[in-house]
Amino acid sequence: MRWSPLARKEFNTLLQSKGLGLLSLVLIVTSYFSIGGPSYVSDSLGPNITLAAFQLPVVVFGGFGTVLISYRSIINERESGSIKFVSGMPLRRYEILIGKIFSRTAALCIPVLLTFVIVGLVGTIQYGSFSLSQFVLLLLVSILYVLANVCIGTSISAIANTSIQAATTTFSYYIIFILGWIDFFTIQLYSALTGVPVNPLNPPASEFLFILHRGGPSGAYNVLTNAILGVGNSASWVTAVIADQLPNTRSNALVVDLAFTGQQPMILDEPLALLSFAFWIIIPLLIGGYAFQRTDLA
Amino acid sequence: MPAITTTDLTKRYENETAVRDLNLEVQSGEIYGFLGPNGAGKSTTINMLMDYVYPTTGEIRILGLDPHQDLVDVHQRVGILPDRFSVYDQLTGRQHLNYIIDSKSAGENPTDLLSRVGLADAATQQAGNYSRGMQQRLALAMALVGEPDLLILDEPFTGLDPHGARAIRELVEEENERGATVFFSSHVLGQVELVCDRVGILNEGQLIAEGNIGDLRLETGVKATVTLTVEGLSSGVVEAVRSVESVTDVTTNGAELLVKTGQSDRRMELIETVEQNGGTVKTFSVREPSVEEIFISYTEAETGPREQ
Repeated sequence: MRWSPLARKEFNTLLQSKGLGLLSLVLIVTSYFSIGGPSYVSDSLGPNITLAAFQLPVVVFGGFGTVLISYRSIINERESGSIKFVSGMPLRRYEILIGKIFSRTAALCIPVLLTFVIVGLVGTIQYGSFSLSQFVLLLLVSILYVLANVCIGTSISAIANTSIQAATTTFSYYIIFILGWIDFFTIQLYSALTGVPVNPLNPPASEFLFILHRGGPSGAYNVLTNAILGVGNSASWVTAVIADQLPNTRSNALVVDLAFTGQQPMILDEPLALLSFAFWIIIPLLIGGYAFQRTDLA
Repeated sequence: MPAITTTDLTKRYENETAVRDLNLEVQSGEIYGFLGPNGAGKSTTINMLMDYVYPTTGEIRILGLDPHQDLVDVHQRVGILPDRFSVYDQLTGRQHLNYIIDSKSAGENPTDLLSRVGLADAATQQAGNYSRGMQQRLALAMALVGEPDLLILDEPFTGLDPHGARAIRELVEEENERGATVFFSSHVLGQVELVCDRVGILNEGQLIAEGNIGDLRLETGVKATVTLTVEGLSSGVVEAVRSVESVTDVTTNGAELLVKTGQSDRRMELIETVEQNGGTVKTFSVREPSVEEIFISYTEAETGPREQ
């Protein structure tokens, strides 16, 4: 692997950065304060309530930290001129991209891992022992989510011509696909495309609507984590999914089991959310790699 | 086999042509100076040689290889000191070297390389705290990693004091003695003269002159100035000297006789002429035309005198 010296150097540089420490702190604090919630959540999850606490912080803050650390990875080097050292090494450009992505994903695993271990231990003391296998699965899905966002951020960095352009694109991506996708943009987009208004309290049994919902990286992450926690087939937040399934209660969660009566569409099977991750890893890489390959670096 | 060959190399941007039909051949083992005013296309050419920038048309061969198709092999064998680079602020000098040594799987000791460029004492300092001259020397040390067959140095004298410039010259000569071909761009012409076997002059993206400095002197017709201090300087001496073949101008300044000649090696003839006409030569010196004068002669011939 010719890119390993590049990845090693980038990883060591990231370890020295304040960003990684700050992200660890934010993830730990927000995950810790996410443990608990309404009584119906603890009734539904039992000791696994600790595991549910990771979902929102990883999506919102983990996603933010990840794209923030990734979007400058190449454009900054192009603007400063240090790219001339990197691209003067015996490395093809796609190897530079791989090195950047690998190092960032590896470095970002540290705050995620620290959060899972520390908050997991605290949660165990407070709420009892959770399922270790579910813990490991959640951790793996969280790393996959980080990887997808690193690919997106790095690809934006490879495509952009200026750091301002990269920042604008990255924050637009974050607001649309991470922050607003689950509760807002899916419904707006669906209505705009089909002309059918959606009442999230009583969503239509539309495969397209549910595919859109889990089509964003945050939606895919929620589908997989909800599946691991066993709360229902949905791309919405775990608390809303549990609430939606209580008798006489409605939430704005889009839950497959409630919207579709009888046989559920196979395309909405939870493991297929992995395809959504594959899409968000492969497509940005292909576009970013193609653009980076064709760009004049000086 | 030439170390660098470009054939009809052209780089066009939206609004300008940076390099136009450049045909260049740098032989293995030579020190080649690539000269030109700012904006002439020197760095664009080097960027194409390194595959940082893609040519619009034309071909490049580096050590017989295509720098795009055979990029890994080419970069393994080439050391580059780029222009307008930036170091990694958080990394020390030693870490910079280790980074390149790892990437080239070279077995060198970073301290040895830092010593060669005079940075051994600053090895553990973060490069962000280095002066511009120190960063330039660090980049040169990075270029030396792996004993490259070809060293490409883009404006290596930028930001260096006279000691630093001399150190670079000595390193270039050492590397050349080791067997490396050295190709460098510069507009610090005095340094070029001291170190280059051959130079090429680029202007507005085109190679307008190439050869060794002596040949270019003859080609441009830029004159050498011979200064003689003469006892018994008379108008007869001046007229006799003026009639010597190749002399184009004669002026006096007290006892000094300043003679412009296209052939500085005819000085003995000048001395004999002075002495035959009643003068006695007390001192004598020759100032050859500098690379700067040659350079100005070529670039002004192409574009006309530059406005001050």
